[in-house]
Amino acid sequence: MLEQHLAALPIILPLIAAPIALILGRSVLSWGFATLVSGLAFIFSWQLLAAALSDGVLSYAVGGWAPPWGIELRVDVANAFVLLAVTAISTLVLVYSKDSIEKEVKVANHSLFYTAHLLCLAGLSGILITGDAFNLFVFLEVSSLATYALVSLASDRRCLTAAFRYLVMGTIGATFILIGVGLLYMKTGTLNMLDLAVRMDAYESSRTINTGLAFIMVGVSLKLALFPLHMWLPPAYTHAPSAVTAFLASTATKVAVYVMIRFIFTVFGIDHVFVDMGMGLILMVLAVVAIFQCSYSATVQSNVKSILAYSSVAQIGYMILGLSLVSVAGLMAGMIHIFNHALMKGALFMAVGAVFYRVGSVDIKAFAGLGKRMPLTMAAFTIAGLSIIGVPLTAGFVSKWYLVTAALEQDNWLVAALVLLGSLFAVVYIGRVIEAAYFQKLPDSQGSKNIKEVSWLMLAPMWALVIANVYFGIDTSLTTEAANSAAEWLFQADAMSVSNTQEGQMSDVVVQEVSS
Amino acid sequence: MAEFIDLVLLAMLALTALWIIFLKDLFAVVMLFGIYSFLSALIFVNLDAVDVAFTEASVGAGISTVLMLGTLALTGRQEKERLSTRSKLLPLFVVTLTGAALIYGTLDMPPFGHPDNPVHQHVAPRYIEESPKEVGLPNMVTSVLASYRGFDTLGETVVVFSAFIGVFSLLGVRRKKKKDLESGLESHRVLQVIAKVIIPLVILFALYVQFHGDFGPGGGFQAGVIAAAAFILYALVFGLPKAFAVVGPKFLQWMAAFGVLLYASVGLYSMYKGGNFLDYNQLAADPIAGQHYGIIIIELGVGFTVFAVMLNIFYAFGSQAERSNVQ
Amino acid sequence: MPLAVRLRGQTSSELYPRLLQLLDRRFSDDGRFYIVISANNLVKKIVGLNVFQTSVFMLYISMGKVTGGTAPIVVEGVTQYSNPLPHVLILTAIVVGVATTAVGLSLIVRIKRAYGTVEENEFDNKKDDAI
Repeated sequence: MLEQHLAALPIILPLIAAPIALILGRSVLSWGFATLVSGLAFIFSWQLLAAALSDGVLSYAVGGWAPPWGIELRVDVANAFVLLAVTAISTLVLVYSKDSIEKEVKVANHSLFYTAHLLCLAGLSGILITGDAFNLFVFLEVSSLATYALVSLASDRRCLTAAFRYLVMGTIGATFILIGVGLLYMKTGTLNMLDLAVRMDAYESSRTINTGLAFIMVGVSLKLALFPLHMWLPPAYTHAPSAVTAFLASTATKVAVYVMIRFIFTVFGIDHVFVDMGMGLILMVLAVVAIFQCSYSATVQSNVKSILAYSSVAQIGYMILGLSLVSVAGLMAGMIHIFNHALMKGALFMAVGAVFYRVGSVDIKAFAGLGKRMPLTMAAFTIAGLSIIGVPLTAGFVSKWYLVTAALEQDNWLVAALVLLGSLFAVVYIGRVIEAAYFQKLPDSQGSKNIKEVSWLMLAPMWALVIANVYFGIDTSLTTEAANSAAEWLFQADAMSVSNTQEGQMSDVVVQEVSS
Repeated sequence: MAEFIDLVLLAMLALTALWIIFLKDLFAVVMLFGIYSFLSALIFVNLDAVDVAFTEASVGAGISTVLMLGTLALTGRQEKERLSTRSKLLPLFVVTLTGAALIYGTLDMPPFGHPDNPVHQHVAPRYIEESPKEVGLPNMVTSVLASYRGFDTLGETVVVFSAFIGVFSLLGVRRKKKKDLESGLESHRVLQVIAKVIIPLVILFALYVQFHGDFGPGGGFQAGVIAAAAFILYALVFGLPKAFAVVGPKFLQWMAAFGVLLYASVGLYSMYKGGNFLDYNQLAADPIAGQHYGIIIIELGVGFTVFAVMLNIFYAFGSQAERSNVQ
Repeated sequence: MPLAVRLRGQTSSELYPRLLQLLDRRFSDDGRFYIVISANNLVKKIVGLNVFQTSVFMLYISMGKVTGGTAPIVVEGVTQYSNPLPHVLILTAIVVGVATTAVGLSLIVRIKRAYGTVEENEFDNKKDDAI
């Protein structure tokens, strides 16, 4: 029975679990329950990826109404791959969050935290899996509202202004997407993404559709924090509770990147976006500026969470850069980086959260001498940091390798050189933290004498990610196979929607049959 | 004639929006927003969207305005003169760009109200022609909302629930201690008498909207908001402690969770019966009856959640206000 | 002047709906958006967001209208109904909007309590001790 509903389970499971977690109330109970549910969602998304790799597309008609009249859930290799990363990180962060949250969030709010986390997970899964443009907006808002709540749970007052700014920018982004979807609907009469793609091909070039494309792209760019629309991200990630930052930094923006990929490849079509509208160059320039501007900003921050937040915006630049190359290799590099970056940033933010747990500060000065006091945490930080830099034998190297190869494939030496140059900045900002941890002396205060390693409950998920970083740096078969078939599938999907214009006419026939 | 009315309403709408930009008195801004919302509701009626108008009037003009006023009570009603040197040019530029894009987009738009427009030709005809037979309800908006796009509505209920989580974690609901001052409009006898007459009627109306949504405009959202409004009135006139005695925040928290679970359980039950998630046809031997049961139950779930969340959000704001008054 | 171009050459019976559509779709989203990104007061920002969203709702509802149609509730003898789908979408969007508003406003209340002000430039200037 579960087999049949596999596509829907990663959404409805956390969706139903969220109110139950609230009812459970007690901190430990709702923690255990949320972790269990997230783990189940991970298992299901693993099965989904396997199913998508073997069967291609899984379509699930919610409510039994066939698309385009009902809402369709549509799983392919690409979104199953991202979903796998999201559910995996969610589960690990939940394991980690028990101790971390006890330190950073008021006891009364613990069950609210787990409820909001599950809601956010449900929203993100919904965004990934749905095949309906308006349903995507609804789930976007589910995850966004949960995110605002999560960010504002921290005890530092600056989280409030950060959350407010995030709320305003997020709502503008969502409203832009709403306008875009509305304009598309106006021209095509449908909301189903596949149907949209088919019916849009009927128009050679329509100003309304182009405007819709522009609004959707700007709205999604706001959500994924593409330069220069990224200003909400650093404060939100810096001041949110550590567990929340670890979760959001490795999932929320990635999901938004996937939404952009999805709209470009399966709805608008490559030709329309890159050839007719010339978006490729715009995206490439923005991506390169993001890499340099934000990597530079990262090097001058003194708060380690800020360093990593700016680094995140820069890393999003790499993903968009891969996408903007408009080739299977480039898209594949982008997809691999979505997955790998989730592993790196998850581990880094968990390590920083562990430091906050013991030291009570994430300023770079607080890291002085921690290499001796918290050896496992700092070792985790170092390995994940090396992965961000792109040192061989780490996952980060694999991402950069494929990105550079994809650029060279098009003889784009400039982009390849810029990618490598961008890594130098990472050496500086990661290096600063590592230098403080290993080569500076521990301050001589009484408090710093008592600093010791955090509990295994925080170390285990952190190290799981670190080991994953190394594993996927050496054995790349899973990531490359999944990312490659995802990229090929997306290019195929685009080609399919162009050739399927006849099918569009068929659906008109169906309409007429129904209406007659 | 209808177009003329629309034109006048739109002009008023534009004026209201402009006025909001320039006014510094936030109380007036919020009131104007209420007016703006009501004007939009009127336009929606004129454009045949009665359900939307109903919701806009109760949610946009009603709850939103109440919450904004509640916030103003805590933060002060005057906007300060801008002292910063931050340029106004950038926002102006961004807005002009957005506006230009929209104007560009309108150039190819299908003509207004034409029956041959793509929106009226594809997907929608089935809702209009088949839904009375397939779902069995005269109100097509309810059919589409609750059945064809039931998943959206589940998502929407969850959004409301998420808002509750957000507000609750930010503000919490404080139970007052007994020694605190009794609040409410104790001395206003007239208000109290009128409230006592009105509140049962409002609740009755909410029940009517809840169960009549299948046939006319209305449904769980509107009913939940209206029922919450009745209790908000009670809390305003008789004070929060008395309202807490009738329905406490803890109970509402349960009720909000219960509403979502009730909605989802319909989906799970239809899965158990062998259909897809939220496939109401499986709920009974006769598909039409199944649709009917499904829609009634999920509308109830929506009503529970919306009522509980809206009232609890009001409690959260209200208890903040009382706390700062006592201080 | 696209507006003028667009209006030229249309009979007067067509003019009203056309003008309506133009007014509806152009003025609606534009000025409202300005409040959101330029206002300094946080409450006004939220009001602006709401006004902005409401005008997007109007964009949707105006698509659903069929000239000569009635509200999409079955009545004997009526064959022409307006499109119910945009109505459903906007019902959802309105509720999403009020949910966002509620969270935004409660953030404002907390900001007021933490910083003593709800003017953006004022709390931007307040320095926090580094954690």
